[in-house]
Amino acid sequence: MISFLQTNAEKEIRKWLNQHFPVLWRYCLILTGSKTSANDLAQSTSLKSLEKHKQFKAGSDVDKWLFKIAKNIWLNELRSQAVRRGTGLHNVDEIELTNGTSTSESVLEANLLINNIMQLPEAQRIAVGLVYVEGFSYREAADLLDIPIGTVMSRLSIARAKLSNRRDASKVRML
Amino acid sequence: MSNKSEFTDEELTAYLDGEKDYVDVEAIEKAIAKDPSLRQRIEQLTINRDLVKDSFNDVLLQAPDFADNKVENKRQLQPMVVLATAVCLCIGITIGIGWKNTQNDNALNHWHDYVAAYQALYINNTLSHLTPVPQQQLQELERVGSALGKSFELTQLQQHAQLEYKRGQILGFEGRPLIQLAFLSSVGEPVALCIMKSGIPNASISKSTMERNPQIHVGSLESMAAAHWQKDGFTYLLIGGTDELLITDAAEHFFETI
Repeated sequence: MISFLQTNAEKEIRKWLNQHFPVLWRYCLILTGSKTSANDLAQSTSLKSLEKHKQFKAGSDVDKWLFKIAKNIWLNELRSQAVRRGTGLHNVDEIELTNGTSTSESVLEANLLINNIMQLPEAQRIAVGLVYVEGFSYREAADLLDIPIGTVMSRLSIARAKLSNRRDASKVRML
Repeated sequence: MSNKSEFTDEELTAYLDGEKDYVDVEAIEKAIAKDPSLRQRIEQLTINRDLVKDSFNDVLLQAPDFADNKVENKRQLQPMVVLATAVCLCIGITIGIGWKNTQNDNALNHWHDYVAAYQALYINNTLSHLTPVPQQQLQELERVGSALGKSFELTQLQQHAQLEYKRGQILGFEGRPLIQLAFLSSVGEPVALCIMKSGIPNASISKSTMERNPQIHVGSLESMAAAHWQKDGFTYLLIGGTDELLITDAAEHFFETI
């Protein structure tokens, strides 16, 4: 038998993945815009995080660390493959919620909002994902993306304007 | 009066997001009270954050489960395949190892573990048929030494009384050369001296009371006697058989001579 001592860092990562993997997958979905790519990216991220667990500082935020890994893998490896396959960047999956506990109208509204967000350009979509979906502060989002806070603010304000505009347009259409 | 020049969309966004460090909230609220056009701009930037969060929380239901076994299996098999390919092991054996490790819930986490898993497949017949020809061994050593960036003398490998040097191979771990120098012990057990450049973490070998040189760590891996040490920018692992005394003695010998 191979001797192996799991470090605290690896235990923390594995525990987080077991409990919160869907959160990582959701972020990967926002990054990639595609469920298939999100599956690949979430798995690659899990794999790399376990391989590189020694670089993780036990006690720090696992989610931020995983999100950084996911972003790097997406930007450096998988996105170019997705573009070559024609499944990335331009073709964003339609997300359809079928929440049985919600009214059909609220599900419709949620579907519309999600897909409006998914149709945003990648940089804006990711900023929205980190701040409005995952609840990170501007500072945290900037750190995760390695960009200035001003850039986060700019992306969010443009995204807000577009989403607001599309919401109003859809209301007009519904009337 | 238009506030277009007074407040940027970014500042209004920060205001809406409650990011008080990046906006003068008081100034905006005073301006909103006086200026309908600013209120309109705020309205044009307003989204329902609660709805965004709730909607994307529903997306979580569409996520696949964390395939722990799948990830673990892939994690173990990828480097194993590299090693297996390098030494022409058949795929079936490789999958077998990966499956075995998955079943045991173990993880190959260090290059030592991969070497140990590979070495565990060595039997006497793996090496016993090799009849060393000094000229070929010299060329082989030059080749593996060149790959590693370290020169070897054939005599360094032939001096230990209980180990017969058989061959040298270039393997790879995480894109880096891993040199395997293979020996047969006097009782016919395969022993390998594996060398990589330093900078890669070493495994925790369960310690043995055999340790005499504080720079050489002796213990066991995969139920085989093993010793590892670092010297002059290289990291070494000597592994094979069950004779800890032999491994300790040979490790001290190679520590001094290589």
